[in-house]
Amino acid sequence: MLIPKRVKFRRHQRGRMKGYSKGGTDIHFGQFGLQALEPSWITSQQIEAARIAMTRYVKRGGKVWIKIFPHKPVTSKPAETRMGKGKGSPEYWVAVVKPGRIMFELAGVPEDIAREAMRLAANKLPIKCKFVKREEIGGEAREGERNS
Amino acid sequence: MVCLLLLGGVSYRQCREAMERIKIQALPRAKDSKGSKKTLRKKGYVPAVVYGRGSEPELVSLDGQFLRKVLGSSAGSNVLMDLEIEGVSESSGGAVMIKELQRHPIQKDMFIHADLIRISLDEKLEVEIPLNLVGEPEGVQDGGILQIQLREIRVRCLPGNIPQSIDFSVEEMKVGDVIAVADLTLPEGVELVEEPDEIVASVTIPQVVEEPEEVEEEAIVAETEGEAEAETGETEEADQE
Repeated sequence: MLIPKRVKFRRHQRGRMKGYSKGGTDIHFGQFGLQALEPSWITSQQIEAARIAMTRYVKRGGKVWIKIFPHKPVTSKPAETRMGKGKGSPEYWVAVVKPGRIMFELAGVPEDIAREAMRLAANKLPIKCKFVKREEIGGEAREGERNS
Repeated sequence: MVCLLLLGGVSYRQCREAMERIKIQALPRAKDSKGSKKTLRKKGYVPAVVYGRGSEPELVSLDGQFLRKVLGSSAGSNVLMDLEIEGVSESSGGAVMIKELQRHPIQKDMFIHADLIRISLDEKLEVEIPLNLVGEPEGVQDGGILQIQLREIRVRCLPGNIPQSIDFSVEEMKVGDVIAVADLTLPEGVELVEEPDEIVASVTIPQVVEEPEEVEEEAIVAETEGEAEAETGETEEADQE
């Protein structure tokens, strides 16, 4: 699972997720991508589950890029604890994803396999996603497929 | 040959067949609020700015549908355009190119804003040309993966000599082979700006996915079955007693 090696601050504030993603909205490495259509926190477990689903379907051949990293710690208080006494301890790590963000990229496989692999990966995520293709020379070649 | 196209909707196909420079008309717009730009976009226009060659920047709006068609053509984003700003003297227009194009992060065919830069047809300029891979490498047929590191290449040339794309054949590439920028053949009048030793594409060995988890699951199932059998055996013995 993806976890930061070292952090400056162990506990973060929650923050807001308004607007669209500022960067990472284009396919840079592969041929196909999975784009977020909603804002959400994606946990490191979800990223790992999506990666496993994708690589298992693709088997050999093909290369997967994970374009998000869970930088943000999420804290929680133990069960049956009274309020106060400070912020809870870090429990898990999340990546803050806003609409438009390309979360995964895939290359080296035919489109039908890439589509199915991305569908399986999208099923592991808590947001609606869209399958996108790299723009071809001299024209748009983006198609959308919504997964719940 | 200059092809004439108006916002009114002259056939685009005619232009595309013999495209060298496209005539594009723009409407002047005043410096205004975010809301007014949103209204422009809803009407199908794209807010744009024209600058360069020592002249004052001018705010204009372009026809979004027409711009989409122009960018979807074979020339791509390196298309040369003759800008005509309605109601403004001809000197304010001239040859322009798209410097930057902001797109909607999800609806990529929707343009947010365009930067047009005035160019001189006699001066060389630096542009990014898409690289076009031709064929399937031998290494891919043997089970390798073609990894493309560079999809666009930066070159210097006259505006009239901008190639649409640079083709290179990857058919002879085997597993472990690498193509560098120096291996590309450029058309006449086009100079390379990139480092010649920069890698364009390589054929690598694919990663093998190991699935030890399934074995573990099977082992767990076997263990639980064994336990269940043992339990049933114990209960049977107890019943007999």
